[in-house]
Amino acid sequence: MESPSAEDVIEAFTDVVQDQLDTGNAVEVPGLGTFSVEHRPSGVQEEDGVRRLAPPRNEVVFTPEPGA
Amino acid sequence: MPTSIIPLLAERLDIPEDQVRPLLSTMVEELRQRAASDGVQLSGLGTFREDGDALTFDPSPALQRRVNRPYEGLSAESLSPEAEPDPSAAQDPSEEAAPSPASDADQDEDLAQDRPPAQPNADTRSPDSFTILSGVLAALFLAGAGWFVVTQTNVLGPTQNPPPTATETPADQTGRNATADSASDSQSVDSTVPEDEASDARDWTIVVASSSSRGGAQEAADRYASQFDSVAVVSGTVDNTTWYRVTIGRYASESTAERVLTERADALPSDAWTHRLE
Repeated sequence: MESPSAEDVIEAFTDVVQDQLDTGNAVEVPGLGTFSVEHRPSGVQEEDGVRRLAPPRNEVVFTPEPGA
Repeated sequence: MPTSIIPLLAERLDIPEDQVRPLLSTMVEELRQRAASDGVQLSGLGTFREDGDALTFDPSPALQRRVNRPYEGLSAESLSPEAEPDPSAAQDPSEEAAPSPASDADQDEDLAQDRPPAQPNADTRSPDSFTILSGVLAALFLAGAGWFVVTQTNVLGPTQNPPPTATETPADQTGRNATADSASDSQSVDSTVPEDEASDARDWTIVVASSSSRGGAQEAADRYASQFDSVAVVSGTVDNTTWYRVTIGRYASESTAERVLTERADALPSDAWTHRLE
């Protein structure tokens, strides 16, 4: 079996992380860190005296591997 | 509990996990070296940088859109409606006493970010508006029925039909979309897109604007038509409310649409998003 090229590995790496985050899963990359999605619920924000209801959203969070 | 990427990569690359580990280790080492110098960007994922001793990651807009697809089109909504009084209303108290449905619609459009608008208050709508609305709906129904009879029975004959142009709706387009409408209650599509771009394989597009009125959407479409080749207005039903979305392009995959969205970010609104037509 032919070994995948560097481009193949990077592309697969990107696809896997995207897919896992897309489904809400956290994915750990040894030597690098962990990618995860955190949900931020809808909440009230105040800016310049105007109160607004911010919509819910998901945030991508990266936690680097300690000591790596 | 996070999932290790190694078995997932092995499956994706179709190689054993033992073979994945050194490849991944090499990639991570290279990535960290580049992150320590100028930073490194992985397309579709984001940018890694070394900030002091800590490795940081800034997700790309495409990735942020992707994880926020369930909330696409939502925007902050003011909770202080009296904080921004309508100047025209202040100048003309008579209008304040008798608000018109049209002004309500305009306010709804200002807030429209693909959200179902507030339901109009039936008590404030005059009987004349119902009469006009009924008349318009009846005329549209009769026009549609007549068009259907003409096209399906081929009354005019084949030589009477002008050749389709790039901006016309193909004759079979409505039939196909009618099927889509009946197949999905939550979201249906009635498009005016060119036939060669509306094939089943090209069902991804970029949405640049959304409005509860076709006129508003068409105005936005006209603005983008000078910059893009394939601009269309498609209608979709969300929570029993019809929305008109201005779309650009038809793409075979989500990744292609995301790539175009990233590449043309300067010419597109910041809240444009990719969307799959059903």
